[in-house]
Amino acid sequence: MKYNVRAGESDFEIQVDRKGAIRLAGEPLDADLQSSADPTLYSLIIGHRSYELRIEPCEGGYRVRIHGVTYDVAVEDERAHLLAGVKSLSGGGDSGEMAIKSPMPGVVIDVAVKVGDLVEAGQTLVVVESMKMHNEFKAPRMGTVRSVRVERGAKVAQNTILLSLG
Amino acid sequence: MPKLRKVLVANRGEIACRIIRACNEMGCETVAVYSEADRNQPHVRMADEAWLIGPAAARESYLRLDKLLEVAKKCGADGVHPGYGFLAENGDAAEAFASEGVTWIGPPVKAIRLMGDKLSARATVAPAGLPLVPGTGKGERVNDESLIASAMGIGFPLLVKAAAGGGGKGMRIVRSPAELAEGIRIARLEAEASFGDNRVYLERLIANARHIEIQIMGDQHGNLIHLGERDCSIQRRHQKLIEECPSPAVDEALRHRMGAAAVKAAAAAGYYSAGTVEFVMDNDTHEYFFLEMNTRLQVEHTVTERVTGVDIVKEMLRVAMGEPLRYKQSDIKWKGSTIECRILAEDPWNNFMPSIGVITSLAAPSGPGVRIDTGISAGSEITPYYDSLIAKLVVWDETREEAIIRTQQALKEFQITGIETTIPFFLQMLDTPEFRTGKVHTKFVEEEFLLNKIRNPELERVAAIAATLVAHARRGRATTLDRATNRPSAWRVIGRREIVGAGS
Repeated sequence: MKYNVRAGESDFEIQVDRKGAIRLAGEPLDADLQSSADPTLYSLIIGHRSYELRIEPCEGGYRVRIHGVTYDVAVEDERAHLLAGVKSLSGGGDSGEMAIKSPMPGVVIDVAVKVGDLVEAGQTLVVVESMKMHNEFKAPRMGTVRSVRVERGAKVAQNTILLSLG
Repeated sequence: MPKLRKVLVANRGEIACRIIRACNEMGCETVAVYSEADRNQPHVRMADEAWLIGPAAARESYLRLDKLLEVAKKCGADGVHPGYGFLAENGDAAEAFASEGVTWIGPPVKAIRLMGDKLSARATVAPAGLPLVPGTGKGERVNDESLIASAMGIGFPLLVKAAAGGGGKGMRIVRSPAELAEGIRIARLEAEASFGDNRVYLERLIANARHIEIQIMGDQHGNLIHLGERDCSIQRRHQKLIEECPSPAVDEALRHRMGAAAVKAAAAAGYYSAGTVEFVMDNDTHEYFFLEMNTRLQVEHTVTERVTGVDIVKEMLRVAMGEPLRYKQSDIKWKGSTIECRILAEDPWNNFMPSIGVITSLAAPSGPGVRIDTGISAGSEITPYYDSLIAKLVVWDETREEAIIRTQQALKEFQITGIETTIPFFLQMLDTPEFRTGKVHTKFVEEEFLLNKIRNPELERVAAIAATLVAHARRGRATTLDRATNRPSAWRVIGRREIVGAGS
């Protein structure tokens, strides 16, 4: 199976055959990965270089931690890669409606916009208090506020939709 | 005073665990309290008794003095340790426990109240000879001429501040005498417009400031000593991130001068137990000025413990029992260098936004000179209800240079998954030339430091290979039996080595 992999800022082409033999950009690679009873702990030996890793699945791939630094890795097999190519040809992208979610639970301190407002990228939309800190959620892109789902004083859970941008 | 038999630990997290340890070592039973959100936190498991005191929100649980008093009475506690935060600097709480016959393991009520208010604190320590930031008095109505006349004695740059302002609002910086009259005029206009009150006052601006604090310790027999300084200049939004002792900006002579000043401040307040006198120090002139006194155990007491060898929490327990201090000033020696990094559940890549979730794994570093104080374990949930401190990494070595290197090693070993932490921030901060040479100030993090996406092609490649092998194994597991299940080891082969050469 062939994989297209993006780790941090780099792209890699990695093949793993039925016997588990690995090729990186077509070149054979001597790599041995072992998992453990601790579900996030892995040991990887490449050649004779040894690495301790923490790997967790996340949206769109894996978070890999090595030496105190986290790398987000997206692993796409060939089939998914082809499908993604077809999708991007037929449109899509980020022109549709977009939900702004709270990444954490907390209390809404302020709602700075109302339905119909035209907002700039970076404009503050909602302020949520969590862990004694105020966190401002800003518009990731320009758009019109389509709906506001929370009001001041509301308790929100993680991933609650705060509002949507069109 | 009788020996403490049973101590109520009126706190949570790492500091509750710290206090429980000290009590256990002194043969004292411990009683934990917990909110509904904290049932599965380590402090509950570590204590001899555990009492539920209410819902998650602190004001409905850890801040409920009535519930804490009720637990103290029901469980028969004869002492209470408030830790830091929550009720630690609440004079009413200290008084209420005392009136129920429960010993407050901390300073006397009067000292908590005197030092709890900025104005009364300054009025208490100034006669004892503590230097205050030079300025004209706040609150008086002073005309422009006398403000200008007093400016020379204050020095430049200075701040023209609105008497009705606060939190950084209504301030103007004046850099030279020539700008002063105009600065006062505009500040008055702004103060009038913002607060409806045109009173202003002057204060020296310390643009290049360090935060230096002195740990003091006293008993109920009038003995007071200091345990040296801590440098807490690496802060963000007034929250300390790194603390160290010794300070790279304090030599032995200055340590003894500041220490003696701190002891005088404590004496003026009739202080006993552990406390901290905070100073702002001018990096350029090495002048120092009294800021405030914290009438409690501090987060960063660990740093002082490591370099002096004094167990501050056990000493607090002894002092509360009426015992005299076990140390004279001349007994206190400072050995080596210690750095503390506050590991917070915050995302340094995302403006230090709180990071909430379940800790899926936790592997703490160890080795010589490494101390971890934490109140979480694998499986703990980080909730939005309390502050974000999850662990303190306290590292000692013989010199500051070596302590920095050892701290970096420990940070690389520290593995926490499930949430984001400030570990990547510390790894980079400890690498800056400013931190390495000790030339930092209290605005360094906000104004000069930038977290970099450091590209490491080797580790990106390693991450890519590992994640691919995990993804590949997951695909395989869906269709074929896992061939490795009957291996005796807890380790399983995910991706196989291509054997080079002969043999297997």
